[in-house]
Parts: sequence; C-alpha cells; structure tokens
Amino acid sequence: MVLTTIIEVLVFGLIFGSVVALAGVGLSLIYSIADFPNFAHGDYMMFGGYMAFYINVQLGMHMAVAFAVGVVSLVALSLVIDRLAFKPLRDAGPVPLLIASIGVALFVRNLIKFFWGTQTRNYAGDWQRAQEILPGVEMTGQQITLVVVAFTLMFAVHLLLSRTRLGKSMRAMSDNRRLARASGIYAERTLMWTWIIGAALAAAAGILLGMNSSLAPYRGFMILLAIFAAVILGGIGSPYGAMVGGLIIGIAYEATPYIPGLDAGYKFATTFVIMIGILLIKPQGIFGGAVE
Amino acid sequence: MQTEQTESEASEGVTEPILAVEEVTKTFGELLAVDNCSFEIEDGSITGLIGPNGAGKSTMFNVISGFYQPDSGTVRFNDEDITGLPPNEIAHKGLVRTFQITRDLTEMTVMENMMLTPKNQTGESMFRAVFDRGTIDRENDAIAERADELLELFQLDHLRDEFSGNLSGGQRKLLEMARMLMLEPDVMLLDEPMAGVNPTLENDIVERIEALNREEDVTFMIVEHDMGLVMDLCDRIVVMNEGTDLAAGPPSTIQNDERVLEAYLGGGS
Amino acid sequence: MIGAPLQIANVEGYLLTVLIWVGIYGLMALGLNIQWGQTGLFNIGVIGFVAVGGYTSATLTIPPSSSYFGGFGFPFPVGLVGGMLAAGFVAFLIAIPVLRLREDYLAIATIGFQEIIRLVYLNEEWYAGGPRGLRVEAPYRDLWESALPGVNFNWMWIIMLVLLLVIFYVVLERLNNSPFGRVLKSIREDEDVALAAGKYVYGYKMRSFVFGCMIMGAAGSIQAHYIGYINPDFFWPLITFYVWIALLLGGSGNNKGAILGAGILMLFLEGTNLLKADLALVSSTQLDAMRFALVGLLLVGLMQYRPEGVLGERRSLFEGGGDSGGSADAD
Ligand SMILES: Nc1ncnc2c1ncn2[C@@H]1O[C@H](COP(=O)(O)OP(=O)(O)O)[C@@H](O)[C@H]1O
Ligand SMILES: [Mg+2]
Repeated sequence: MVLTTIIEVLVFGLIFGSVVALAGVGLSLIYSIADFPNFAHGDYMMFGGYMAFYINVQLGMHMAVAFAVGVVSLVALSLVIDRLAFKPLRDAGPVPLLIASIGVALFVRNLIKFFWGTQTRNYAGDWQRAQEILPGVEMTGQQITLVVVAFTLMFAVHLLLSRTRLGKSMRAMSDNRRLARASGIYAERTLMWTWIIGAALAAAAGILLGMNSSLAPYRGFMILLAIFAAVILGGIGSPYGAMVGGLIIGIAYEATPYIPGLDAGYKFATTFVIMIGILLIKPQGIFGGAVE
Repeated sequence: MQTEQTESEASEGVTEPILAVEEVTKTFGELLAVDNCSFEIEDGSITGLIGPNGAGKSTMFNVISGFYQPDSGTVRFNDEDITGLPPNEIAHKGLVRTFQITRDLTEMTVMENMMLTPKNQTGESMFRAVFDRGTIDRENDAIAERADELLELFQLDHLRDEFSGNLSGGQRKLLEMARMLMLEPDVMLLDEPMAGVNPTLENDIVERIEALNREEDVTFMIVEHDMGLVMDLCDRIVVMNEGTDLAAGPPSTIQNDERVLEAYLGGGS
Repeated sequence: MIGAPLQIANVEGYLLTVLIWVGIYGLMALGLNIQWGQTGLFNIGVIGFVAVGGYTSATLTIPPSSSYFGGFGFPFPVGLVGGMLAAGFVAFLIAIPVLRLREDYLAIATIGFQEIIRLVYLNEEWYAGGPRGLRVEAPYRDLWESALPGVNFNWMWIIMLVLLLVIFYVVLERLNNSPFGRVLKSIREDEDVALAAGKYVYGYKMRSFVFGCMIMGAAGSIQAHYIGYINPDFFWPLITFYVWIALLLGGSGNNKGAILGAGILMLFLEGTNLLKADLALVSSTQLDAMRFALVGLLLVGLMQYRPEGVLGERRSLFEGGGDSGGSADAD
C-alpha cells in the first residue's frame, strides 16, 4: 500500500520531472550564456505546444509532423524576439533584459490567447489507455512516450555539449560570465545556437506537457516557477544539474499531497520552497561550480 | 630612563602596532590568493604594500576590511580581534578602505557622497527622518561644514553640487578618500590611489596623505606600483609575493633586499 | 455589424472609477518606488503584499461568521492599519532569507512568494472562503448618504485616496531627503560602498522593503473595501507588472512620477478598453489579448528607449548607463 504510493509518486514525479528537466536545460543554458533569467521561457513552451496543436488538430496531421513544426516555429520566433527585444539590451546588464523578458512573456502569452482563446486544448489521438508497468502502477501511452522522448532529447543535448565544438564553446561561455559578455562574432554565434537549442527544447517540453495533460495560455507561466526551481537547484549553467533538479522537483511536486497539512493545491509552492532553501544553503546549486 | 627605552624601541621599529595581520590565508576554490601572510602596521605610520600583480594585495585589503572571510588567520586592530566582522562594523571602529577600482555613487552629488558617511546620524532612523526635521537640519549643517573643509583640502569644493559621475577619474579617487575621511578613521587602506591619475593630481594626493598623516594622525597603508613614490612617501614597506609576505622594513632595507629584487623588480611588470 | 456607440450611462461615475484605480495603483507604485526606485530592490511580488493587506483588512472588519476565519467587526481604520501591518510582517518574514540574494534571485524569489500567497488564500477555505472569497462592506456609506445625499459615494474613496497619497508622498519625500534616504541611494548605486562607509546594508534594505510592502498593503485594503469583495482572482501576477509599468513610465526614483505613471497606465488600459465597443472585427477575448500584448511591448520598448522613465531620476539602475538606444548592435 505505502510502497505503491511511493512508486506512484516516483513514476508521476518522473513524468512531470522530465518535462521540467527538458525545459530547464534550455532555460539554464540561456540563463548563463545570455546572462539573464528569461521569464518568457514558460510562454515559449506554450507557443510550441499550440503550434503543434494547430498542425495536429486544426490541420489534422500526424503528431510527429506537429512536433516538428512546433519546434521549428518556436525556434524561429525566439530568434526574431532575440533580435528585436533582447539584442539591443545586451550591454545594459541583466535587469533590463529581465524586465524585457517579462514583456516578451506577456506578448507571447497573449499572442496565444489571440489565436487560440483561453480554453484548454488537447491533442487528437486516443492512446490514453493505461498499461500496468509495475505492479499497481499504470502509465498511459502518452506518458511513456513523454518520458522516452524527454530522455532521448536530454541524451542528445549531452552528446552535443560533450562531443561538439559548439558544445565546448557553450560550456566555456556558461562557465565564464565575463567571457559571455565579451561580444564578437564567435560569442554571437554561440549565443544564437543557445537560443536555438533552448527554444527547441522548450517547444518539445511544451508539446509533451500538452500531450500529458492539456494546453492553456497561462500554464506556461505557472510551470516556469517550477522550472526556475529546477535550474537553481541544479546550478545555473549546469545542464546536467537542470536534469537532476528537474527530476527532484517533479518528485517533490507529485509528493506534495502526501505531505501532512498540504494538498494538491500546493504542488507549485513545494517546489518553490525547495528552491528558496537551496538559494540559502548553497546558492550556486548542487552542481554549480563557478563562484560568483 | 623610560623615555630612553621608548626611543630605543622606536628606533628598532617595535612600537605598538595598530593593525596586525597574523598568518592569514584566503583561497578562491583551488586558487591560493593569500597564503599564510603576516605583517604589522605601526600607529601613525605610512606603510607601503607592494608586490607584483596578483600577489594578493587587494585580496589582503578585502580580508582586513571584512569584505572577504579568511580561511584562517587573524586580523587585529587596536588590540582587538576583528577577523570576520562585517565591513560596516570594521569601518565604524576606525579602519576604512578605498577600492582599487573606484566605486562611484554616480547619481549622488559630491556633497551627498560626503554626507553619507558620518556615523550615527539621527536621520538614519526612519521615524526621526520623518518627524524630527529640526535635529536633522542642525546635524546636516554641522556635517556639511566638515565636508566643506575636506572638499577644500582636496580641491573639490568647486564641484560640491556636481554629480560624482561627472568627475574625472582622479577627482573620483580624491572624492573616495575624502568621503571615507568623514568617518574620522584611525587607519586608511588605500588600494592604488594614484593609478590612472595625472602627475599634478598625483602630487596633490601625496601631499594630502602626508598632511593627514601629520596633522590628523591618520595611519595609512598604501598599495602603489611607482617604486620611487613608495620609497619617498612611506616609512615602512611590506612586500607581498604569491600571497605571502616576503619582506618588511624601511625603504632603504627593502631597496637592497635581494629576494625582493628577484621576485618583484626582476619578474615584475 | 456596426460597432455599438460608446455607452457610458454615467460619465461622472465612470471617471470616478478610473480615478480611484489611479489612486490604488498610485499607492502600489509609491510602495514599489522606495524599494526599487530608491533602494534598488527588485520586487516582482507586489500583488502578494497587496493581497495580504486586503485579506487582513477584510477579516478585521467583516462581521463574525462560521464560514470564514474571524470576522472581527472592527471599524475600517483598524482594517487599514492592520492590513498594512500584516503586509509589513509578511514582507519581513520573506525578506529575512530573500534580501541577501542577488537581484535576479530576488526577482525569482519574490514572484514565487507572490504565487504562494495566492495559493494559500485559494486553498485555505476556512480562512477566507478560498476561491469564493469574502464580501467586504464599504465603510462610511450611511454616514456619507445622510450627510451628502445625492452625491456620488465614490467621492468618499477619492477623498480617502488623496489623503493617503498625500500622507505617503510627504513621508516618502522626507525619507528621501534625509540621511536615511542617502543610505538607500548609496545601496542602490553600490552596496559595497555603503558597507565600506559603515552602513548596515541589510538593515536598511529590510526597512525599505517592509515599508514599501506596507504601502502596498494599504492599497490592498482600499481595493478590497472599494470593490466590495475579495478573492484570489484579484491577485494574478499580471497586476504586479502593471505596477512596474506605472513606476517605469513615471520614472523610477521619483515619487511624483510613480503616481503620474499610474495615471498614464490607467489612461492606456481604459483607453484600449473603450475601443472594445468600437471594434467588432475581433472578439472581446481577442481584444483583451491585444491590449495585454501591447502592455508587453510597452515593457520592452520602455527598456530599450526610455529606461529612466518619463520623470526618471535613475539611470545607473541600468549599468549600461547612457546608451539606452536600440542601436547597440555590434555588426
Ligand atoms: N573574487 C575573486 N575570485 C577569484 N579569484 C580572485 C578573486 N579576487 C582575486 N582573485 C585572484 O587572487 C589573486 C590575487 O589577486 P589580487 O589580490 O587582486 O592581487 P593584487 O591586488 O596583488 O594584484 C589573483 O590570482 C586573482 O586572480
Ligand atoms: Mg590589486
């Protein structure tokens, strides 16, 4: 009985956690390389999710196509936004960029509301049938897909960061915030690729989130807080930290209703309290190395 | 008899130190910035702190003034252990510092800069700030008087109401010193006060330091790269190299110390 | 279909409503100004403290009932002061850990606490009815109607808001022009200088933060009693960004600017709202979306073209200083 509960929390934590981790990797890279916390990241996720909804439901095409279009369109949008909104502020320090990203968040969220309204949306396809994967624990096809896709993508990021020149320069820039500021074509290119990768992962996370539950314009902002928690927990600029942080946050999120005195309404609050705790005890995060 | 003894002690350089650094170590991750460093500063002296770039001088100042916590070692000021105290408390005890890269309060006027520092101002209480304007005005007048004196001494009086962001680099260094003098310190640590300052202004700064030392009995420790200047200005010199104290003594000794020549003058910048 | 003509039955009533909201946002912006404008504290959890002020004030003044906590039936001034104190106390508790953090962490932490505060009011139904919220009576209505029959009751709110704005304005200006204000300024410019000058920076930040949040609490109290009810839906993060826009429009660091900014904000929000009736091409949801998207663009534009605001004092807030223009491209 207790064991089943624990396994259930772990499994559902894994599901939510993989979405958080996936989005967190991108947010973390952008945070350290572009040098500001992008408050629009959650809304970016939703935009990717809604573009996939457009392809999948409104145009009735296969989910794989929808996935690809969602990713590509968000990458394009994020590059345009970087060019118009963030680039002019690049030398102004993190605060104006942070405020501008709040503006961008509002803009993107309302773009979504304009085209798709405020009601929740679901992708087409009926694979909700649950299978028993462990004794007493069931997962739906969507959930299994979500976890597999998320981990595949995170493994791809790992390969990219550890095996390619681009990955090497991204890590160098995220380790050294000063270097990141020193502009130059090289740094600009790395930054552009950071946005591309960050946005692609955000779109993927948004689509997976939509597959698993549903899409709503405001959901991106809600989940952003959990993603920030994961990023800070893992250490800003540490993609692996964000992955582990995401899973921890996911489990804490799903475990919340079992904490005496709390109910499901406090799921986001728990993740946040964990984050504050980390900020106080170890501000550089579990995996963060660089001392400010 | 007693006078004789004091005199002989003084000539040997063993007067009571006002500041004593004992076996201080400070690391940044793997990096040993200050490594088991010890030295003393005599009351009323002007001491030079020299050493090649990266020797740990600024880090040492940050440890003394409370901005960094040392890994080990103690800092004693006026016979009191001040290791690990927060910077504001150390400043209030009469040990103040300037920064190597001048820190500006650019959107405050020169006068506001000066009036910030004096301690225990009545108007620092929110309640009194709102309800006791009379006392505040009176105090402000007194503080402003002292500030004007110092500004005149530092030849900044004509810039009194200018935003400090509009001052030249050298003037900012002067303002920073003047601002800290409003605390009426016993000891001032100056981190490269002459760097990037034109020769005329440099002479001014040297004169101010000597005057303050003579007339107001302020003890100085100064980081400076111009060896000629250091030799002229300072009574005593401490040499740091690779985080540790390499030598200490009067300029004449230091000038002829082989280890110093090797480490500093030989490999120096 | 031709857009329906503007139908504002009662022009006086409408203008009063707008003015009241200018006053309420003006209060919030004043509170934010001492934090951000004077001290450089990045608080994006404004609406959380407004909520605490509003809920506390409501609980203190409504009649007792078993369906929510208390109901203490105190007169309105007790609610107002109690709301301010409660907002200040919550601010104090939050500030203990949070004020030591770097500014970007402070931003994330305050926005998180704001959300937690909303979640608490949403989930703790025993306290204030959860999603249903509470009904709150407007004070002095009978008194007003017997003394000034026929005069729109909203004038009472205008008078009260003007009073509060004047009081807080004077207090904040005095603080600003005092040794206390000098220290706040030095902290916003460079914390290390303030420390080197012997100032207990943490204590000053704390006082600035708590006092600013108390003013936000006052705004919350007025808002709850003016609207006549309170529930978690009034406290979405969007409102915090409105307050930021008001302050940034008016000019951070300037108390008059904060109030002026609230005025400009309301002009914008109401102006675009009035368009609603005239544009039949899009649905009202779409029109709302366009308005808010515009608010977002406004924030970006402000950062790019006028970070110091209309009456702005602060420039160093933005390290880049002078070159705020959109021409920083390197290529
Ligand atoms: N905050 C810091 N973080 C990491 N390393 C530092 C920091 N401050 C100084 N260092 C390092 O410590 C060493 C000593 O530096 P510093 O005290 O500035 O030398 P100096 O003032 O003698 O030129 C240098 O190698 C420098 O890079
Ligand atoms: Mg140095």
